[in-house]
Amino acid sequence: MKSDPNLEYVQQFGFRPAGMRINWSLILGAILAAIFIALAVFGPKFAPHHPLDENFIYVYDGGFVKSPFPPLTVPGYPLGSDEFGRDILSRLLWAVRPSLILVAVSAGIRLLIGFCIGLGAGWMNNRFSRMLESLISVSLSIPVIFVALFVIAALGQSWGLWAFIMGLTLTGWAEPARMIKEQTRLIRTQRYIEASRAVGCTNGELIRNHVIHHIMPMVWMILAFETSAALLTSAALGFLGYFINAVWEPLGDFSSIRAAGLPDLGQMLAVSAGGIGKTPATMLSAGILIFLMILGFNLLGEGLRWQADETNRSHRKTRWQVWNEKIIDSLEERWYAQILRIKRALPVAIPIAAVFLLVIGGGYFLWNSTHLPESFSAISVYGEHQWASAMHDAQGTMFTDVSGPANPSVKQLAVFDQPLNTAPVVAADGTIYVGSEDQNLYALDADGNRKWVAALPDVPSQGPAIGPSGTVYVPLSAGGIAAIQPDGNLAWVLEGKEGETPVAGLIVSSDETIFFITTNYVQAVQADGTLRWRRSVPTYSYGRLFPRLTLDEKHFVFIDTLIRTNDGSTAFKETVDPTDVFIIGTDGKTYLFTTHEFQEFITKEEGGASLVPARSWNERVLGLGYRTPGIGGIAPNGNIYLYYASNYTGPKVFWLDAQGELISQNGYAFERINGSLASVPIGADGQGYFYLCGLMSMQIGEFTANCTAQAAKAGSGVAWTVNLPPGAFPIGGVILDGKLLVSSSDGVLYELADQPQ
Amino acid sequence: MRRTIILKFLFIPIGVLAAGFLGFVYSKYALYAMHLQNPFAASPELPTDLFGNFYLLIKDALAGNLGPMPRGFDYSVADALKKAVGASLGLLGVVVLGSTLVGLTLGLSAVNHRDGTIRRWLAPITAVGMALPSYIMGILFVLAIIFITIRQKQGGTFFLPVGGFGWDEHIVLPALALMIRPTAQLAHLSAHVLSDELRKQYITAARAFGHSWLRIRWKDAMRNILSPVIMTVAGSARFLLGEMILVEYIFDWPGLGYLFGWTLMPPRIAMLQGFYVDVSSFFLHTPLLTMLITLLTFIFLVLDFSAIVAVECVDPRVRHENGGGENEI
Repeated sequence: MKSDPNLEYVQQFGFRPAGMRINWSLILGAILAAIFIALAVFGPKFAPHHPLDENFIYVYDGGFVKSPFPPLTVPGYPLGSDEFGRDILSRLLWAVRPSLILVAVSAGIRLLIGFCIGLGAGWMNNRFSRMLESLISVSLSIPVIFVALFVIAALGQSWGLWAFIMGLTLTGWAEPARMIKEQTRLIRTQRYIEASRAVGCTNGELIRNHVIHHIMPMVWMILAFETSAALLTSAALGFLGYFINAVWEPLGDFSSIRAAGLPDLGQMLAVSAGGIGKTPATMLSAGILIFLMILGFNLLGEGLRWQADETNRSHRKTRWQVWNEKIIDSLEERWYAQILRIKRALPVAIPIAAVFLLVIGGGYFLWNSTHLPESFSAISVYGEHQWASAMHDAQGTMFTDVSGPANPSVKQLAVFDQPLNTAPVVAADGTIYVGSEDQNLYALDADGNRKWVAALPDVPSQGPAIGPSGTVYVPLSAGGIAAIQPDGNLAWVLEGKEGETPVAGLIVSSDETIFFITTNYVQAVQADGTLRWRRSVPTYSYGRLFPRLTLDEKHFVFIDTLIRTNDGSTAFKETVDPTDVFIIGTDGKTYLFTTHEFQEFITKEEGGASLVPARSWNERVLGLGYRTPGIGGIAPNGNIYLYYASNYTGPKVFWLDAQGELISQNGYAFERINGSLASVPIGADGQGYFYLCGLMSMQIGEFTANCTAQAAKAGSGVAWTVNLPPGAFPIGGVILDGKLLVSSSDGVLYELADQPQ
Repeated sequence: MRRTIILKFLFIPIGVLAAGFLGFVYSKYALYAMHLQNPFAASPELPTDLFGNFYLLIKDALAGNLGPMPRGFDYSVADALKKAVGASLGLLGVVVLGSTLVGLTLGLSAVNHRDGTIRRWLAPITAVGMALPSYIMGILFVLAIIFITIRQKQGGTFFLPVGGFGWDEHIVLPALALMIRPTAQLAHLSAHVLSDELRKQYITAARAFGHSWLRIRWKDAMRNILSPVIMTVAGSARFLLGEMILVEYIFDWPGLGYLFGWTLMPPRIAMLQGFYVDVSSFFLHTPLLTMLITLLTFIFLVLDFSAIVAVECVDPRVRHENGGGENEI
């Protein structure tokens, strides 16, 4: 057989001729790696659906298809869907980013640790270097998946993402360390090192000027291999049920489940592994993507290794090199030396900077994606009133950023002849408005002195609201509304429909439209008192009735129905569970509050809307019994406050953290009157307290009530409980700076305030 | 080298005991940490007298009395471990043997013996093989079997079992799934070391002496490449023990990896050997986890030791270094 002329060339000259072989590994690997990096950066933008968007039934002209949709059968779902009707293509496009960043950060940390240990073990020749060598050998002999499982099983719940990074890097640095050690040892034995030492170079100078310069080209290769290895392990961990972007939900002492959050590749494998026969497309597509990613980075590493081999390099100068040399030659000596110094520093500086950037930037991204911003509120009260409606604002968040009382005592702020009938509201200038059984609306200053009294045509009922202009709108028990100007003059009265009574407090939008709900109708009234529209809606609810305006004011939500503000038509109705209610978080998003989660309501650009699980918790851990969602909200720091009520037993209040982990819980044994629970939830404040009042015991004519603050602190969280004077029966309350105001049916407005020191 | 072998041999019992103790301490402290994180659990107490309790556990283990398995199984931990060791070592043996034979055949046949170049078909095969995780292969096999069965007429049965234990056709799919990566790795390595070896000066000399290519390749070159091949096989076997956690889980193969997975996997209700079991009781189960770590460490160290002894026996250069070679001057 004829011998290979190329090989003869190599044997004769020590390197292969230029253009002898194309480095296909490098080309293919670079293409695949670039595709996946592009997917990580831009993938979510191209996703046709939200990855958590569930669609259990797809309806088309001829019928319907139930999820999981097979690939290429349902329009808009090219790869089909999983059993919850979530688009697999969209999930894949979202999954690449967290998976790739996690493995890249882990690979960067492995490389940094391996670099230091490998350099030490390879350069030194003493007992310490032998110890480092033994450490490398021991770490190499233990499969990384064992170590990762140990670490994540022990730390998983509390360390979350960092447990993954620690598990993947604890012994994962050993392979880079071995490569660096071997290369360092090879360099150490070279003649030029001996010569440099002979002319007086120190160890530091030798490492800086020679060793690191020779090792640096390996960094890219090691990074590619380590990315591939970390991906292999992290996908395996995902398959076993440990994945990032997950919610850990304890079921019992040691029993838990993980509910999927935003997807990553490991999670997709884990979730689809359970129903491999039902949803093979998820498993197949995630598996193939993982395979291609590992293949891409393996090829890239192999290609870089091939390229680093001196015998594989082309020794023919490229046009760029020739041009570059010409420029340098044309420069004066002073510039020439500086440019040479820069040229020498760049190959070292660029990989070091890239690895640090990868670790710090990727780490920040991962941290940021698993932690909510420290504090953010999108809600503002129109007219900047202190407490504009029965639930604080038009969105009904029941959250105020002031701090209520920390250790209050009770005093009577104002006493009235007749029982109070409404919750108080407080204007921007501190004026307190409260309605009474005597058909009057009272305006008081902060010390409880009367500013004026406005006579109403009927008994006020439910909660009044203050508009942006300062006008106070009061619902009347005959189903109408009265508008009182800030100076106490009656502006107008809208008569109610016969037989109707108000069932919820009012809210007022930024353009002064008043939304009002009576027994059978929901209605919108303009600022001049004319009726804009009236629609018939069912108003029976298990929860507390209150309309809430969405942040864009296109809709308002009422129980589990979304109603358009322009014409009162129903935009969306949640039909699965009658106990669900829509709420608005302080983040400005609209959520459906179900027994175990907040589902974000997302309007799609192409029309329609979807509910996407946003925050989950374990309802069994909360011990809800027969309680149903009442009031829920998200505080600006991400904590969740939940008030579950029941027709059969006392309410329960919970504080959960942003990940749905329980912080505090407490049940309240309030009494019932005429079948209704005598409990008044007031709201949450900036210091993380939830305030509520309720009737503790009921003897004829002698009520005993108290108010409580439940903090977002471990345990029951009860910060204080204060008894109201005998006979007090709380109707409603507001949270102001350092105090609570509670209106009572004994005709007293109570103030629960911290005493000045 | 012989000193290393003796030291390694002496290290086996020490290493096994140390690893077992570490596993024991880990399970105790991990349970303590879990209690701390559970707001409903009673105040946990720090584990005490770890040495004493570990000694008692080892004593019980030697007496074959490790208590009953967590709920869901009606046999003891010792019986489960005995069964698991047999199942895992059997599977490991089949996989190591199969991947060595196939990998070496592929790798050696890819080298052109006259000039030492590697044939081009090997690169894509090994690149794909090394990028294929065993669990993805396992899942692909399961899906393929399901797909073929669905395509059959009504009443069709799986032509290969997709789960369960048995030294018959049950072992085919788990073994194949595990074999892919080590086979590719070995083919890649053997081809490259043989290629390097055939370019060495002594090969040219042997050719000049008139030795046939067959003899040069299979006798001279082969003996010198066996050392890295053996070390790679031993490394693959260690790697396979990690992979077995996943593959045994997919194929319901009751081996060490299977048990190991359940002691560290997030607790949940799961299908185990045909029954729904609350596997939360497996999670961090101290006797099971300690003995699993002890057994796996023992297998690791024995594999390592066997590899070193094998290299000493087959590599003429190592023998020469130790003064026992036939060409010693």
